Amino acid sequence: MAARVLVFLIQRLLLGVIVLLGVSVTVFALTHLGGDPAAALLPLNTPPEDVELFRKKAGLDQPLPVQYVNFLSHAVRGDFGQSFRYRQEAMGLILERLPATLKLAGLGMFFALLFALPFGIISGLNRGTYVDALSRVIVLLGQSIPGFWLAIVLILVFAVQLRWLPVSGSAGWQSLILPAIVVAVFPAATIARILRSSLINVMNRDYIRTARAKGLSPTPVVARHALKNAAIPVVTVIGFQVGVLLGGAVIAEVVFAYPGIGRLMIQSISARDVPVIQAFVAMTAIIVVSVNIFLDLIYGWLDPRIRF
Amino acid sequence: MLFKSSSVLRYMCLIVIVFALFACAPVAQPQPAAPAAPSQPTAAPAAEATTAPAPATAAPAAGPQGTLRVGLVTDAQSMDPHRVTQTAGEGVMKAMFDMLIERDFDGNLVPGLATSWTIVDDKTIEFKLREGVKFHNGEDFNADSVKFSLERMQKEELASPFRNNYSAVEEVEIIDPYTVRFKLSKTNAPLLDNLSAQLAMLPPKYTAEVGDAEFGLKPVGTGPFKFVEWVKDDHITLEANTEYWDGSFKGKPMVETVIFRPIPEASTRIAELTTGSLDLIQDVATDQAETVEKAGFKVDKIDVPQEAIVFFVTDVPDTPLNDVRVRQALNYGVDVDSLIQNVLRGYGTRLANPIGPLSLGYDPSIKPYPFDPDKAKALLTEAGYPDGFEVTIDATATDKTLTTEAVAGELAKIGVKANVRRVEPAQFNENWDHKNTSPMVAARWSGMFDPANFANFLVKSDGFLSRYNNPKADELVAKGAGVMDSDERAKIYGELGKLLYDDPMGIYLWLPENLYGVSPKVQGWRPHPRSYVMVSNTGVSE
Repeated sequence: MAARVLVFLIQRLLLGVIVLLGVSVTVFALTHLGGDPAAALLPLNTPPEDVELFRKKAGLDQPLPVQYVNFLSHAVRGDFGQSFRYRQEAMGLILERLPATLKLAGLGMFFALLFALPFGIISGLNRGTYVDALSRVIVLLGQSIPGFWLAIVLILVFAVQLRWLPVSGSAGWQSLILPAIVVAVFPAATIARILRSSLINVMNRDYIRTARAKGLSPTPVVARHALKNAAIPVVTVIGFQVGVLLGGAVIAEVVFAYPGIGRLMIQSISARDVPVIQAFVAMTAIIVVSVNIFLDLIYGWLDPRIRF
Repeated sequence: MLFKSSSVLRYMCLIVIVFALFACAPVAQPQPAAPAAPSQPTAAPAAEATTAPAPATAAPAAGPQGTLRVGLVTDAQSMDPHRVTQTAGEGVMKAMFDMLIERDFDGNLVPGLATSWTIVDDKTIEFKLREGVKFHNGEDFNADSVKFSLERMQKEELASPFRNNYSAVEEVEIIDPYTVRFKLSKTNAPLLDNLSAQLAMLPPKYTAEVGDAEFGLKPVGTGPFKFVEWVKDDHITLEANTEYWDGSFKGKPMVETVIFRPIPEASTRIAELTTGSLDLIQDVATDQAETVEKAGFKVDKIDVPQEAIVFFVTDVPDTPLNDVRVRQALNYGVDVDSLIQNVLRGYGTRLANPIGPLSLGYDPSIKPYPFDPDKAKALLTEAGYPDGFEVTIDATATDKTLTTEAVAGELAKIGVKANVRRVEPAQFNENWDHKNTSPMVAARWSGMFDPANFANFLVKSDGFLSRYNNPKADELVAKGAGVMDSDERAKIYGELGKLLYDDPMGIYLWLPENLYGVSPKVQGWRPHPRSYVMVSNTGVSE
């Protein structure tokens, strides 16, 4: 068993590396498609000689494949080069701000599950009733509200009108609540929807009928038999939502002036600070890939039929 | 699954919105240039007396009190004044550092750490330095600091974005501890203005000891506030320098502590102001000014030298824009006043030519082209385009204050069908660099206190961004760059302005106004024409 898990893990890690390579090619291509980084970075009045000097120093005068290989060979060692804007290690800038974003994303995921589990379960167990209908409307709203708009409405209601929470910033746990709600809403709705349909599916299975027939009361039937079996697609979706959370953090961090990597990313994109963009994408990809590998391992526990 | 169209869309909306927040940065941000005001090249102590700040009414005898909380648009990239390029960060630098010469609230050049300066000849400037000034760490300010700071700026390893501005200074000669001379390799008129913008005075011993990188995290200057703490993207804290020298145009620190918070989203900044968590915010959008005022806060405004112009490409033969009558017609055909009212909600000042109201050489007797569509059509007919023509205007994808579509709408009324092509800022700059633009280009050119750079890059026919060709203008530009005396230069640029009015290089639009939201608790604060948020001489009442 242990050996098989190890083999599975190695397979997964190899796949992860391939995904990361793909990501690196894509981000490299994208950052070079949108115009010359030198033109974005230097003021418009920079004389052409100085622009050339800058390009040379930053290695931007090399052919693209050469630049890519250079980039990759440094990147595997965690070296993404110096930020053009901050003149500091790009990866260092990301790592400095990463804890703040992880805190936000973590609380966001907690909120998402806090919302998704009851809604998904109630909806799934009461299929077709008005409770289900209401819950589905709420979930649909959650999936379609733009985060940017929601963030501003939350500020106006809870910070400006009611004065319960600070408008923005990162002083104290209170300032985390509104941004965490913003990042949580979309994943919450998605998870609730999947949980509902998965639960409906499971509740019609024979083993549930058997469990009921042998006289189990509804609570253990749902808790012990139905939920565990309904959890597999939900876990898969949670894995996907990690990426969504990090994406949502970009919106929330900008609106709530929260000092995380999402905000750094937006600044770097507009300043075409290529090393930081690349370090950010690499870091995000690593997080998403690792979370998904971890979740793959959980499947085995959830469903003993799944063998590695 | 990961690429659900809804999440992709969300991303795209976000990026568009967020780019708009950074809109002011990438368009055309050359560093400003040269002296605007002192009619004599030597700023006498008399000038100092008049610019010394009046004691603020709120001044308690006990010294600095309370905390001033300021909302900025972005964080500073560094705490190293020789590297910071955005106005948000520059305001923070101005609180901690002083320059030899300063640009005051009215846009005049006034004494800073130099009590006076003399143009000895076209290649030599002499500075008399202020005595008894100490850096925050106790080091004395003197001629060594000047020499050190200038040479640091020129150093290749530092790679300062302003390095180019100081390349004309060949040598800093120390005459005595409080007198220095800059020897120039060639006349460099914008030098004085550059000195006032970036050449912060640094303590030589401390800087050498900690190194350039560390200095960017723990700065030491002579300014009214001392550095305390910088948490990136979250806040910068400064404390009052109670020993700040007398006679600075900045005035004394009136609060014990200043906290700067970078908040990119405009509505968030306003919410922070109206809930009382901030006292002063930068960059209130014109359409939100009313909200701020209704909430009981003040909106302070100031003209900034950032000229909005739709530039013409005139160097392509046999195109409509090649004809001066067409260029005039387009100026007659746009109702700029109504655009200022309707698009900028009145927060803008009309421009008659590029030598605008804040520029050296501004001539108020030149009135902007009146809105006269009949005259415009007549000129177009005369030039052989009775039915107008079709043209493309390039604009950056992010500029929110330069509403190119509105200009295009005006042009349509005189039969000129203008299509607006929105281009990503980096691509936009690159296109311009490579003379690869559409026939018209909408942009803002900042730093127009001194027209030298503008003239050099955009007016002179061989300027590297220029698409304009007028031999008489070339002559004037060369003349302007060849003298140091401001009076004479003002005259030359006045003439250039007249010429650019008669033979337009673009559709001249406006100078935008910068808006600030100010709490009624704040006293003595004034906006600065360079868009810095200056925090000294500003008190906060409880």
